[in-house]
Amino acid sequence: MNSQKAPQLLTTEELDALLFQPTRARLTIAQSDELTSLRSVLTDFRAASVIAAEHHYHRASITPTRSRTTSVFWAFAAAALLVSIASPMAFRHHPAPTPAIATASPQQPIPAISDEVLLADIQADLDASVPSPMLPLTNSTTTKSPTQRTR
Amino acid sequence: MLQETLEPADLTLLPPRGASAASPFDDMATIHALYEPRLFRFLLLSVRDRDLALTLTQETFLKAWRTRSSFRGECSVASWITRIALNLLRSHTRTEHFRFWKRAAATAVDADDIAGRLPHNSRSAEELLIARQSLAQVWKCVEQLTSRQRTIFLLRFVEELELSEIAETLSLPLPTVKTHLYRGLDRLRAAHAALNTPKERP
Repeated sequence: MNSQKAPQLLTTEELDALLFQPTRARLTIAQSDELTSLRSVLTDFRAASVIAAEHHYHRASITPTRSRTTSVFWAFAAAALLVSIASPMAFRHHPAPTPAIATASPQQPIPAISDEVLLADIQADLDASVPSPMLPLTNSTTTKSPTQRTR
Repeated sequence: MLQETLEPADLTLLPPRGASAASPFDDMATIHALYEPRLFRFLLLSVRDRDLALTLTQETFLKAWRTRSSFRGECSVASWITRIALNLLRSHTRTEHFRFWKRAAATAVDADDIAGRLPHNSRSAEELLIARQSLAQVWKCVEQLTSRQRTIFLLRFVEELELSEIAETLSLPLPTVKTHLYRGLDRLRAAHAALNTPKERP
């Protein structure tokens, strides 16, 4: 045939069909070589894939919860991150009520003072603050004494 | 995500009341045992992450169990389950979350992982090395396909489904499936030819 001038390759459709059945058609050397070579490499690919898949299937079956463990780990990591972000904000809000509690506790033992006592104290303070020269005169005899001396 | 790992025994539940005809999903344990390895393999090659593939596999069976009443028997059980898996896969891979974890996952499967599991088949060390190199290249090529091309490629060349079954599973017309498959195959063919072309020595 004309295969010696230019190697006539199989069409892809022919090739696909021939890969799955024994070759009965008359092929040129180039066609036969290509078909054999491709068939060999595809057979190897399938065999290796099957073996690799079996191997990985058994390994995955031994550790079936790996992906779940990984997701649980990341969930915990995310939760820890959120807590670490949220906790400083929480601490910032807490100090406000704390001093109120601290100051309130020493005031509790102070005894209750009645209004009358308070008013008496105020009166006493007011009285004490008035200077002695400004004190009101008690009676008239005391005022006349200087005149008697002059006499 | 699924909260617990399902065991086949957990899925053996009584059929719902009022279910007249026997559904294949009534015996969920059998379906789980039958299709789980295959589904896991397909998802592992699609997402290239072991944990994610296992999670999606379990979610697929859980969803199949929950929506079993909608199974009308219009397609095969395998097609129906694969369709559920593909929907879950699609919705999962849309998110940025997946893209990030795809890069960062410790359980990711790479080309070396696949190539290292190549059976010796009484090959010489040199032949094995060349085969591993070719295999790594196929893996890389599959990775570069579009998601639809990759799905069809994997269903065809790993799960060995017929084109009509792929069309049924993906709810696509047969010519569309062929177009995507041939594009993927063309890319592989070109990459393989480039690898096998002897380099000229100066």
